[in-house]
Amino acid sequence: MSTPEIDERFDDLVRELRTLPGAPDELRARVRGLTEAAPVPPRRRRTGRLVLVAACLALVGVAGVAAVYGIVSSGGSGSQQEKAAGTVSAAGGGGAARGAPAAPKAHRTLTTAVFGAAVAPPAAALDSAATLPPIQGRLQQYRATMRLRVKGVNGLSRTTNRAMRITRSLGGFVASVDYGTPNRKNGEAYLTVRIPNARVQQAVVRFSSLGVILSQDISIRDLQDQANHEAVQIIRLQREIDRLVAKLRGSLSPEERVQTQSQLDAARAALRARTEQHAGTLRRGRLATFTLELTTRKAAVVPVHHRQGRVGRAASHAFGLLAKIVAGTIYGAIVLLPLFVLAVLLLVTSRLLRRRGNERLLARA
Amino acid sequence: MTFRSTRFGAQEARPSFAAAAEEHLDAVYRYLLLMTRDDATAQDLTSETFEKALRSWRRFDPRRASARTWLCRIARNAALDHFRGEERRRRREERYAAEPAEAGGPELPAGLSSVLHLALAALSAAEREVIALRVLLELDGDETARLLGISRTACSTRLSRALQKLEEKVGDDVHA
Repeated sequence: MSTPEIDERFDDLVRELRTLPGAPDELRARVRGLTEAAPVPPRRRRTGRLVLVAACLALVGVAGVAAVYGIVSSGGSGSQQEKAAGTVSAAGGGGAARGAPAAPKAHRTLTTAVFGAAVAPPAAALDSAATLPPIQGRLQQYRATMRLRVKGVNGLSRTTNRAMRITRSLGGFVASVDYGTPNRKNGEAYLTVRIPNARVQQAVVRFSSLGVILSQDISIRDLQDQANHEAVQIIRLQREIDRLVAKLRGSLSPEERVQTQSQLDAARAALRARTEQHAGTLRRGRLATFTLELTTRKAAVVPVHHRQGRVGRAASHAFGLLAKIVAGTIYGAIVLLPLFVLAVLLLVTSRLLRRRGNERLLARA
Repeated sequence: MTFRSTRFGAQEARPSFAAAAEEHLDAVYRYLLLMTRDDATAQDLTSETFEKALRSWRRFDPRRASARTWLCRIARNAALDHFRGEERRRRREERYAAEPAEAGGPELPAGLSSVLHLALAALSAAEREVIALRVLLELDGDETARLLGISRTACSTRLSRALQKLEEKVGDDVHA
């Protein structure tokens, strides 16, 4: 009869307490009526499972968004390769020359590095170089440096001769040649050639076909503004000279004549200097300078910029976005953690107070 | 009693509400009767308990507690609400009445001796509650302690004191 933990001396009391009657029939009927009147609501799905599913869906969604972002932002392979391989920098062109073609950049540079043996056909370099052709109608200083690999010392000799022939056929001239073969296996040749600007693109195409391009550097500097400025100064100096000559023809005191003559000499000297400078500017602007470095050696080991394919870039961008999302989540958690702790403390405190209140209430009742 | 097996093989029995109500109606009623010492109030609170239980039956998880314990928790909250309401009413009446209102005498159903009836009236609701849970409903110490929100030791102590007090009161009344 006695329940464990209940002393046997209370057995009579317990026995009598257990004679307390059960629910009356009226109450039983009322409770039965509850289930008959209203069907039991369907059991709600487990919240924990729903949260788990929602969390999985959210993760999949985030991964999907990151993947789409990575694919979209990776762009096309060609344009990205150009971006990766070449560096194009530009500075403002200043005041555009009267009548000149509109707004070119004063200085543009394209550097393309192709490392490794026979990995890049000349056409690849040609494509890149073609993105920076000289602008027709404007005076531009065009400089190109190409490093090409050729096969063997015999090939180096043939290629050097061929480069010189190409230069001449394009209406240019060879400014300097430095050819050397320290041993039978290896050798290098350095050529500096000048090509008319109008035929630069042809020169790039033909020089590119001489061997495997190891690197190329193309630089374009706009000289139109400088040439225009020099021309204006020359005109001003000529007018000044004309004025001084006319002044000397008139009646002047000896001192004035000496002074005017001195001014005239200075103006003529300045005109000569300015004219020479202008001629040099025009010469630089009309003839492109090509520096060809021909070598039989393979490219030296240099730090290679990691070039990723489109899949690699997409993955990189996707992981970048994921990293940002994770960082944002952690940041949010750090910010919200104190609030969460405070809410938990409030909840625990309120439950504790309510429990004590209930205890007091039951003790009084 | 109908059973619905769970998907993950835990095999916890989940009775239908009707079956649970049929099985535990007496226990809930007796618990509330001993708590309130009033038959009409106990019936009302029992009815209210099962209404609430029906509305929230979908939240009942047999893995966390037995149906009896779960129903007793709802019944306890209903009883606490009742006591709170009673206390408010008593305070209100005391504030506006010159003399404290005479509360109507409790109406326990037949079955208990008048001595035990008087002795139970001398106990607090908290003491009657622990007796109801441990003696009438025969819940074990852990379940009772969890339901009351106290430790198992405190629960045992409270039960022992309540029975001791009840025994003394019964003895006093018999001698008187």
